[in-house]
Amino acid sequence: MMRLPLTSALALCVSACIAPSVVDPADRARLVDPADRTWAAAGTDDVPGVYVSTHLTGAVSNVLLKVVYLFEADGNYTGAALVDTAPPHFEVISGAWRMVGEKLVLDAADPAGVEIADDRSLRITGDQGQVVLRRELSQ
Amino acid sequence: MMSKPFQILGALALLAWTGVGAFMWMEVKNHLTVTIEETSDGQSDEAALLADRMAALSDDLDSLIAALDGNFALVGQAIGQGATDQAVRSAVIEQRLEQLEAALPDALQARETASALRVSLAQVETILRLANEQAAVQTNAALVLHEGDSRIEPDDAALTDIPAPADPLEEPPAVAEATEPAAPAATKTSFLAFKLPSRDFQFDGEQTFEILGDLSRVGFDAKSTLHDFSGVSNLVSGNFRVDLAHPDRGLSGSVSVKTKSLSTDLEGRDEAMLEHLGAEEHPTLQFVFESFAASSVDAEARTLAGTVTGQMTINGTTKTLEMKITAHVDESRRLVVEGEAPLSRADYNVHVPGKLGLISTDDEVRIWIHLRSRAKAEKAR
Repeated sequence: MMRLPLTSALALCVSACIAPSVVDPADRARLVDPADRTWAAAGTDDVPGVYVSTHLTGAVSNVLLKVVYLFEADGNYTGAALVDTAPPHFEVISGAWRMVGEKLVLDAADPAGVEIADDRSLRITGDQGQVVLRRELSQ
Repeated sequence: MMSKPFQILGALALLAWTGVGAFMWMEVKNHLTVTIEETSDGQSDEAALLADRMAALSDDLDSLIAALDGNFALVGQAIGQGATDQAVRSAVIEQRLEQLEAALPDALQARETASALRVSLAQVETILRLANEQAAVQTNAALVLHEGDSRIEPDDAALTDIPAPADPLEEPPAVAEATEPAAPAATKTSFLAFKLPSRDFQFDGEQTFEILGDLSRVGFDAKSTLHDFSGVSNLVSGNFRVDLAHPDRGLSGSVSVKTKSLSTDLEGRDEAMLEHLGAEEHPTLQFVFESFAASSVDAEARTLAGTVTGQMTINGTTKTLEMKITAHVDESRRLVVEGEAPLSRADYNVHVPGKLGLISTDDEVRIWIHLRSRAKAEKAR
């Protein structure tokens, strides 16, 4: 006879200790929004490094699956893009980069806006879209 | 009295003056000889000068005539030489014309052969161009089977310079039209410096979407006596094929989830859950698409909604399941599919015994999906 009240009390205690953990429908998406970060205009010293894309938007996202860059301090760069063709393939380029004002210019490509986040990620914005590049360690 | 003598004296003086004058006239007449000679020296000089000039002119004319004679001779000689040369050239031209006339049949034959080769080349170029176009718009290859109402976003215009894919059901282009050089597959140097093929997201047309596991999640929400909780998996894979503008025409594909990847964020509960789901024997939870009943399709907004019907397999048991879903295209041109549906655990033999006689979980759970997928590039067909 004493068992029921005891278990009820135990259940109530456990219930009070364990908070509900239902995923809100608005949080079901698994995507980091780069807009959540704080971005500021990048300078020449901010660019050198190894980067891997984490977010592609705009027209370039139709055909690009991944982008990797190495920007060297001496003004040279190399990059590889995983292009969504059938089958997918890598396009590898190299050349010279420079800053023109607050714009990043890769060889003869159109100048693109470049910003840096507090985690030193780069965001490059051009007329065909935007790419967020996470800074990686050279290995 | 005195005037009379003066009058006489005056008359006498007048007479005397007249007489002296007549005398002087005569004297002068006697001493003055006037000789008139016909002197014509000036006229003679002018005549002589004129004669000299005429003689010089005559000499000049003689020289001119002599010179002209010489020049005329040279001109005549030159004309004669030119005529000779012209005759030679005419002979050569005539000879060449004869040779050309002789070679004309062969040339015509060669021209016909060249034309045939050009036609063949144009056909090859046309085939290659169509293949390139289809490869560039591979995700839209099925679009050509339907009336197209695809659109191009203004901000994509820079990358959409590939012409619309040709309808394979149409007659092949005429040879005469195909003689124009075929344009190579369009590529454009992006602001990232890569040369990228031109392709836009196509809402219209059958295409295959690959689920991006890193950007997708599926899960369930359950109610228990203690509290409500969710189970979530990030290990999602699969693909599906559909014409977003006409989803009623067919839907195929599947979504799979690794059973052991489900987590309720509570270790002991996870162990019990995986045991009840038979994770060891049935490592995969799967939903196979069968059909789609659209309730709304907005090609302009790139959205659609409706009910997906398919076969859900849990714990080795397969049941028909309907799920209401919505879909839209995000800023990265990915198709985002969201949906949820009620599901009875008992239908899949997932029995969770109560604990202590009080702690129990409702039989009905709500399963949900949040998938991001991208249209796969397809080879030209």
